[in-house]
Amino acid sequence: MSIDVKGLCFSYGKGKNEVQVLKDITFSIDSNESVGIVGKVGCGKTTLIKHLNGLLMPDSGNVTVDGLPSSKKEVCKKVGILFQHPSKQLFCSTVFEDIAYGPTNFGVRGDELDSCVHEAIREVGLAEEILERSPFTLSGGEMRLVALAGVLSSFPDYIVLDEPTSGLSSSGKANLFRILDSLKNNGVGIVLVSHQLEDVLDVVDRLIYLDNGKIAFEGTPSEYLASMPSPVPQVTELMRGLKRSGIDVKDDIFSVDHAFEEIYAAWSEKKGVL
Amino acid sequence: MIRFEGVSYSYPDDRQVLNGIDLQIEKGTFTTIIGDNGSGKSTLVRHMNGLLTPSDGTVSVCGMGTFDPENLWEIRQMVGMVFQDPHSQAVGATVEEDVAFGPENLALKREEVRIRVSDSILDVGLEGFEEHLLMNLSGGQLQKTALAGVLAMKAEYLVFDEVTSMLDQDSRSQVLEIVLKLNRMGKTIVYVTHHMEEVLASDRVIVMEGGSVAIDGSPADVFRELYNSGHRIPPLMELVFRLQDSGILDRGVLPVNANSLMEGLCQSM
Amino acid sequence: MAEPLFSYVRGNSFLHNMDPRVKIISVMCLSILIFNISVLSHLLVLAVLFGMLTNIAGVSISVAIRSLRPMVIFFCFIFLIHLFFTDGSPIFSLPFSPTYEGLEKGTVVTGRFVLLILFGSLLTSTTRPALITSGIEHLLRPLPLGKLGTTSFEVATMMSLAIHFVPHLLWYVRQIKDAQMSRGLKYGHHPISGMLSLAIPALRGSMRMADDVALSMESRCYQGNYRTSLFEMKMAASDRFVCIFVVLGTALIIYA
Repeated sequence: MSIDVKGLCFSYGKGKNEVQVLKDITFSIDSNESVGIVGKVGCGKTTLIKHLNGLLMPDSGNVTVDGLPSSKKEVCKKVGILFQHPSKQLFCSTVFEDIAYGPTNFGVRGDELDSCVHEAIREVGLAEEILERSPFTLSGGEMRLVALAGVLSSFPDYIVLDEPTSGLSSSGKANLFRILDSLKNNGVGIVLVSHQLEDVLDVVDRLIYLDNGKIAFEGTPSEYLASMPSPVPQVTELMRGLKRSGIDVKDDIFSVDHAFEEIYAAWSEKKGVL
Repeated sequence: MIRFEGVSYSYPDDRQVLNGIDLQIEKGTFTTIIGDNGSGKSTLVRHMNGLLTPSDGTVSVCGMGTFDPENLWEIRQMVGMVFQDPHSQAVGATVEEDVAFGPENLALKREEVRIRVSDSILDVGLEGFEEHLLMNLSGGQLQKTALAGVLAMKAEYLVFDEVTSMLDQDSRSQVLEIVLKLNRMGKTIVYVTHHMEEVLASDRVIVMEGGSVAIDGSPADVFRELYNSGHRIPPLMELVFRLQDSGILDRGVLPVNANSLMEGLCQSM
Repeated sequence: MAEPLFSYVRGNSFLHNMDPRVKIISVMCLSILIFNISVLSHLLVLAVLFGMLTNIAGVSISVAIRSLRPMVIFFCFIFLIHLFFTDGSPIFSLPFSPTYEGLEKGTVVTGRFVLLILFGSLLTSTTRPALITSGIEHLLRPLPLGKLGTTSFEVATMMSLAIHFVPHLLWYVRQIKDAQMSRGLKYGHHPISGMLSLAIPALRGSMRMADDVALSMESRCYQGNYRTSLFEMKMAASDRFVCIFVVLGTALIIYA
């Protein structure tokens, strides 16, 4: 079970206004792994993910989800997308209706619909009282969770999140990653799209770095840190700097724990010598 | 000076968002306000130019209370405000028209409006974009336009309500850069943000929690307190405190980026 | 992003420099003329006039033509209605045939709407949006708006807001459309219900955006009374001449 993208090319516009956004992209995502897609703003990330559930069709190449071409309606149910700016995605008068929107389109009715909605709201950790409120009276963090519940209520096999941490406080981020982690353990494939490396390195199994519509890197986070000159997280930058100035530390790490251990070891060694 | 005295605020449906806030914003300072979603940050700053008035207590700007509608005209000239969503605070069709909106309302002479508009556009680095249509601009450029719009009012106090939260990294640092420059030019800045990294630039940090001020101090003190109480802080800061706690790094200094931390470490090792 | 319809094209032509009030009055006169015309050849004269003016303005004709695109279905609709439902001599010997009279009437009626939009787009492409609104504001001044509880400044601001709001609203609608489609809605299958499911959230969204804009306006001391205008309007001798010429010309043609 996987999403497979093969030789995907895509351009906006026609004739002399044509801009090629994606150039020969090939990768696949398994149903129980989490993959980060990172890259600068304008590198084609959002355009790429719109191909994963058939919102856009490739000019050439193809996208299949569990063997089905992305033009099939089933694909839309299999792959849920959470777009940026949640406040711009909620469109019903109550939270309940908004979360029920997806399942209703896929033909779920009555008690079954009810249980889908309740399960989704529990999954994101919001109180059930919220279901009767208007989504527009919620705070930004709550809106994002409601938008996420609106995707989860259709029980997708894969879920794609575009810049999910923007506008979230650090505790909001921690909460979101907790939810994603439990989803992954239940066999849901996670695709995290971000322009901020720090936000995804920690939580993904694999990383795809897009640069100007092409895949510039694909591999594990530690492979990325070992081989890519930039961009890297601040902690990695620090470790690379220390290594350059002759202090014996590993430089392919980004977590505070790791970095602290390395620096502490190097420091104790120096101190021991003195 | 902006002064809050015992300010409480409840929504019409009785949900209380601010509980007895006492606060003073001194002239020329750069204050950041952080806190979880729903902690009352936006509600707090919207009191600063009388967009909201307290249910209880008073807010005054340079001695003028916001409770008196007669004062609002002057208060709003002194306290400019930029909001979060770049797409829904533009009033004009082109950059210069939007920037001119404020000074036009002040019924100034046309020449004065022209000067203010071109000066403000220069201050935010949008020169050359004067006649561009706003709808063709990026989020970052739209926010810079909004910023120029309050500068053109010649406001002394500039309040930014999560202005970077819908922007990408590059535009975010550009906007912050401009804000810092304005502070150096003598403007008083109140800056609400989610991005802890942005806090480092300020003189003073206020942490809001459940409608009250939870912590109030310098960035170093506030981060230290957050770290000690087990809150998540930016990774580099966390590393700094752990290094300080184990005696590798001096406690007195707070390195703000990878380079300055590296220099600090190289000295002590 | 593609250039939006009805947008200002910078230039320094005679039309660009003409006083906006004169341009607005002229477009109004032209619309009156257009709706008083029932002969095809007269419409052709106006079409030629439009061609000449576009040429003078140095605006590419494709910009103007493009502004017709959203209305194409409407044009076809009124044309076909007249073509088939006008009494007269049938073109084909079929029981339900278009008529020659219908062909002429359909062309005239459709042509009127086309010309109306073309002249409108000529106004918007040669005049800054701010000048259009302040032109309208000046023209409204003599009216007793105070009795309606508003001022000419308020009306002008409302109009300029309405105009520049549209693209932001479209941006918003695109976001909702993506969100709805990725949650299983197929627009192609039920165009009507698809439209409805967009229209309602768009309306609600526009109201919330309006709230935000109101905050930003209030923060910038908007009060709805006298405001300076960034751009100066100067009525030159040539402007007065054009104005008198257009108004008299229109009156003569209609009453003669």
